[in-house]
Parts: sequence; C-alpha cells; structure tokens
Amino acid sequence: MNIEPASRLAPVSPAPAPSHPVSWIVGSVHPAHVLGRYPDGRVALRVDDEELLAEAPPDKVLPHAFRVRVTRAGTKPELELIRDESDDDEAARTRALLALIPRQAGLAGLLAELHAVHAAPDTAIPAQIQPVLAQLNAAMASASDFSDAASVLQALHSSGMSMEARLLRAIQENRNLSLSGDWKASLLRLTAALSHYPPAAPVDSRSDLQPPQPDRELPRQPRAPRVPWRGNASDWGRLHHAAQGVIARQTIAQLQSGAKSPTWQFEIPMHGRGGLDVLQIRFAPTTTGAGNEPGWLIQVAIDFPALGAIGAEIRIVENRVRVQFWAEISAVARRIESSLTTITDRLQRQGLVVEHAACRYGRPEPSPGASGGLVSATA
Amino acid sequence: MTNRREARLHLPASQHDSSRSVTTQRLTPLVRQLAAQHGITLTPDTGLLEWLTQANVPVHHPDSPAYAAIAAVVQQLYTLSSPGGDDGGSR
Repeated sequence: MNIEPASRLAPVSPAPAPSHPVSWIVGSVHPAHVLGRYPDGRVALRVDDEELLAEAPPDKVLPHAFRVRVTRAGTKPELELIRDESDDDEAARTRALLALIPRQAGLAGLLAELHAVHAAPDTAIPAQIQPVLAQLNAAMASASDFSDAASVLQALHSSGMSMEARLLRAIQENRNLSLSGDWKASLLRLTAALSHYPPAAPVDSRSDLQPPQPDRELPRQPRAPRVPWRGNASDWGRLHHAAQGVIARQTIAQLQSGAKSPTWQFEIPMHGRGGLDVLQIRFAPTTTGAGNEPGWLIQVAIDFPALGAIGAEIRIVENRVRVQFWAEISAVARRIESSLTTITDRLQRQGLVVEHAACRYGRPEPSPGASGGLVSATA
Repeated sequence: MTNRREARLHLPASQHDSSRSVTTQRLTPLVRQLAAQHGITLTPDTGLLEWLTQANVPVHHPDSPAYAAIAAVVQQLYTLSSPGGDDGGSR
C-alpha cells in the first residue's frame, strides 16, 4: 500500500468546496480513500467528494481505499473504518491463484505417464513407490462409480475437491477419517514418494493446458500420446513433475469453488478401454425462467479415443431437467440422437422430470450462464 | 495546513478476525497433524490452507437431482463408448 508523503499533499490553500458534501448522518456509509499522512500522524482522506483531516491510530497502516461508517456527527465527526473481509479474502484467493497458475498442468499428461508405468512389463518400480502407485490406481474412478446420485456424490468427494475440508471436519467431529480413495491425497503421497527424483518437465508440450477457466467452455482433454517408459530417474522425475502440476491444477479448482461467483470444476481420472481418460464435470449456480428459479447448470465432457469429444449440458431446477448432448463428430451426434429415448428413460428412473433432451453436432459455446445455445461445427 | 474538516477515524477492534478465519486458524495445525498421520504434507501456506478447508462439493445431499442427472448422463456416455453401445459402462 502506498501512502503519499505529506510533501505531495494538496497545498496549504483551502481545499475546494466539495461538489457533493458528505451527509454526516450517524450510520451512513461512505467510500473513502487516503490522500496522504502528515508528520503529526493525521491522515488526509477524501470521503465522498469532501477532503478532511482525520486523527487515526498512528501504528496502523490503512488500506488505500475503504469505506467508513459515521459513528458520531457534529463539527468533528467520528468515523469507523469498515473492513471488507470478503474483499480481503478475495484478494488473498486471487494471489494464491496467480501463484499456482504457472505450476499447473493437465491431468491427461499425468495419466499417460501412469499408463506407461503400468503397461511397461519389465519396469522395476522402487519399493517405496509401488504402494502409492497402487493407491493412485485405486483412487481412479470407473463408470460404475457413477451409477446413481449417491455414488456420484462419493466420486466427487473422492476427487480431491474436499480433501482438506474432510480433514477439518474429522477434527471438528472428533472422528476417524479414511483418505485411502482420495485422489488428491494419493497424488500427495506419490510426490512424497518421488521426492528423491527432481521434477523434470517433459520435452514436449503434452502438459500444456490452460488453467480451469469458469467462463470458458470445458477444454478438450483427450488422452495424451503414449510416452516411452524406461523406469530411469528421468522418467520418475517426469512423473513427479506431472503429479505436481495436477495437484496445482486441482488446487486452482478448489479455490474457484470459493469465489464470489463460484464454479465447481472436477477433473476425474477414469479407467477406460486401453487407457485412462479425463472426465470433466463443472457446476455453476444459475437461475431459470421468469421466476428466476435457482438451479444448476452442469457441464459434462469426456474425450474418448473412438468418439472424440462428447458431453452434455444439464440444466436442472428442483427435479426438472433439460439436457443438451453434444458431440464433435457428426456420426457420434447422430448415435446420441438415436439414443435419446434411452437417456430419457435413465433420467426418469432417477426420479427426474425430463423437460427437454436433444443432441447437437458441435461444441457448446463458452457461456455457462447463458441460455444454452450451441455453436454448430458445421457453421 | 488546510481548512479541511477534521474528523476522527477508528479502526474496528476485530478487523482482522472473521469468525471463519478464527476457527480455521485455530484448527489449521491440527489439520496438518492429521494429514501427516495419513502420510500427507499439506501446503506450507497457512492462508491457502485455510481457503482449501472451505472447498467442498457443491451439494451435500446424496439424493440431489443434480447428481442423479450426472449419473444418467455419464452412464449414457459410457454406453456409447462401448463396442455395440450395450455394456452400460461397467467394466
């Protein structure tokens, strides 16, 4: 914070009359900012359009801009600084995000490394790494982990989004906690086990992926190209680097869930046919209809080797659902379209009222809060 | 100096203490301790850790229609990815 020196303050001549004098009504709140501090400790402030000299605690550093509440009127009014905790929190959150962004990396790169480790038949895996790799493998999800609402909740809990919250709650409730299936916990154990191998960035750009951006469409996250695996120190260092990048990315997603306009973005490692895939699920609160009914916009995306990128936008208010599938390959879009009766049945079996179900060829446009229009890839 | 109006500015005594940060600050060392028991080293940044203890899933109700819808959609996508599209996604 910069406090201007007194020598740079306005000259001794009388301050100009304010165009909008402050109404010094007790309880009224006004924007204020610091013009400077005099050697005698007094602070020059501008409150609304009026400049004034305020006695302030000498040992306190004031924010440059803040709000004040009038606590006593009169010729020498008394003001109370209102400290906006949410703004402070938001600034701290933003600083943390900025520090994490250069370190983050996509999940697909890590999954390619892990798949290579497991696929290499003659790999000698150091003893201290074997159990953490097994834990990591067990923490990955499969389609059967998304069989109903309760299992989806469990899968999202295990994604790492709530790992620290689960630790805190276990302490508050004085109960035992198991983190054995938690993805972030497993990644942290992996990086600890790989601590002897300095993290090394891959020579290619397989980890290049923009950080999670709530106002953009979900990025494509196809399987990364197969990586050669020899089990040497360089390979383990590359795995270490990839794991650190994914932890940073996960942490960014956690911070975004606490923003003033929160979104929850989950990137879940999935066991798939012949490899590992990234399932993306994003939640954003939304309102719908003339009554502004609160609900959710949920975006789901996955990139299968055989199908390309596919996904769905789900709008849900209470138990009413509108679902718009999309596929970037036209033949796949047609297959989905022909299966809409099946998906409607699935949704109804889950107790939902299906108001709309459709499929488009193309990808959704980058506006989670918008009305759900899609951009056709044929346009 | 000038003929500016004079005033007195007070700072609220609890300006640095939101109820949330008081709770999490008090428990943060215990969170680290419990994590260590699970073989996990958490971020050394206490402020960041306090933020992370607030991150959670968007809805806590296991019967949430949102989760039910996700279940149906993910099952459908995995069905499509299966040869013949008839395995229901289970492996």
